[in-house]
Amino acid sequence: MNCKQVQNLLNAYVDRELGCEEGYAIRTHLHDCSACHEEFVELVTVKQLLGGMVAEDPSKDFEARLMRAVFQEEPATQKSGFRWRPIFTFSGVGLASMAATLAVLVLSRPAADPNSNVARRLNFDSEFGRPAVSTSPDNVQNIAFEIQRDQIYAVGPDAASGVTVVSASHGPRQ
Amino acid sequence: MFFSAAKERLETDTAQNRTARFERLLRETQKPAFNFALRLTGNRTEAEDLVQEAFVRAYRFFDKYDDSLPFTNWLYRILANTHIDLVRRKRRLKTTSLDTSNQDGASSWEIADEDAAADRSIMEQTLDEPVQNALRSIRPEFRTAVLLADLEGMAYEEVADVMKTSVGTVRSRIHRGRKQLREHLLRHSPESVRQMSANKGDRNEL
Repeated sequence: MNCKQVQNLLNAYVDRELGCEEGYAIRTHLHDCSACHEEFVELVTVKQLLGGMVAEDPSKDFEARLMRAVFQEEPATQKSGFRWRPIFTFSGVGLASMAATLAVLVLSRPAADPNSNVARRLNFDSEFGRPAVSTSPDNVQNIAFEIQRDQIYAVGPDAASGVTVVSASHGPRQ
Repeated sequence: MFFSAAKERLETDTAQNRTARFERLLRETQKPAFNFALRLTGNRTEAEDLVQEAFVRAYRFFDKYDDSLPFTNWLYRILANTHIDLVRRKRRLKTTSLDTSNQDGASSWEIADEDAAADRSIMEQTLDEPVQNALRSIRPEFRTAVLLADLEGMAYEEVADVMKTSVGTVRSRIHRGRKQLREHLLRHSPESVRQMSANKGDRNEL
């Protein structure tokens, strides 16, 4: 065995993971080669330094904190598979804000007729199914928005009749 | 009706047994698990967080635990995987915060320097400092393999079992890991390696 071969097997030799034959060849080489022997001794030292690191205890309340963290959501009691979920999730809030932006965009367009091309196109193209179909013209100042759950309501005077109308993000029920 | 009540009772009993069993295992293994995590992270706070996350995951998948494997080996597998997940997540955060132009989700963190330990800046308390610093300088996969062998005293086959890989991969990871540890120690605190090895100069000890 030459030095390179020995050095490649040296860590396995340190860990006593080699067979008799390889082990013997390395042992013989180390006896004759001071450079490899030095590396061997250093690797044994590293192993011992790691093994000799002082064990530390966790904080006093660690076990109690672990218990709380592990058993706080007890899967064994969820027999029906039902789980309470928060109503306002991140994705829900994201969706609502996207819908709000869409509604503002639609409102800022000069689309007077509810059956106008713009309104129909938006209705058709939107990823949200049936988005806000608002027909208010540009000059309407007093439009109020309200967001509840996944619905957006816009309140303002209708362009044609002047009567105050409420439009929802889901559009008219079918 | 009688049967459904009996079945329900049996289910409750099994669930209680499961909880009690896990609780006992948790009490028995939390200290060694913390110590292993401490060497893996080099930081008490991170080690406690890591152990907590590992136990939460272990309990969630406790049904999949196979009795033939020691519980600590199974737990350490979860712990090591969780650690690698955390290091990668941190590295990704670090990379994206440095390179804000990379908005298209390209995984630039993959080409980040593997040797640059992600958790170095969060160190708050050091122990066995030279060795711990050396550990932090090597890749987490190498660190895990070397620690399982040297700190936990596992044979390569056991390490392979924990890391779900082949003995050949373990041999290579330990070889490269320990070699890098030696180089790091020789460069940064040669006395820690030389002092001890001076006592081993006698070749007849081999």
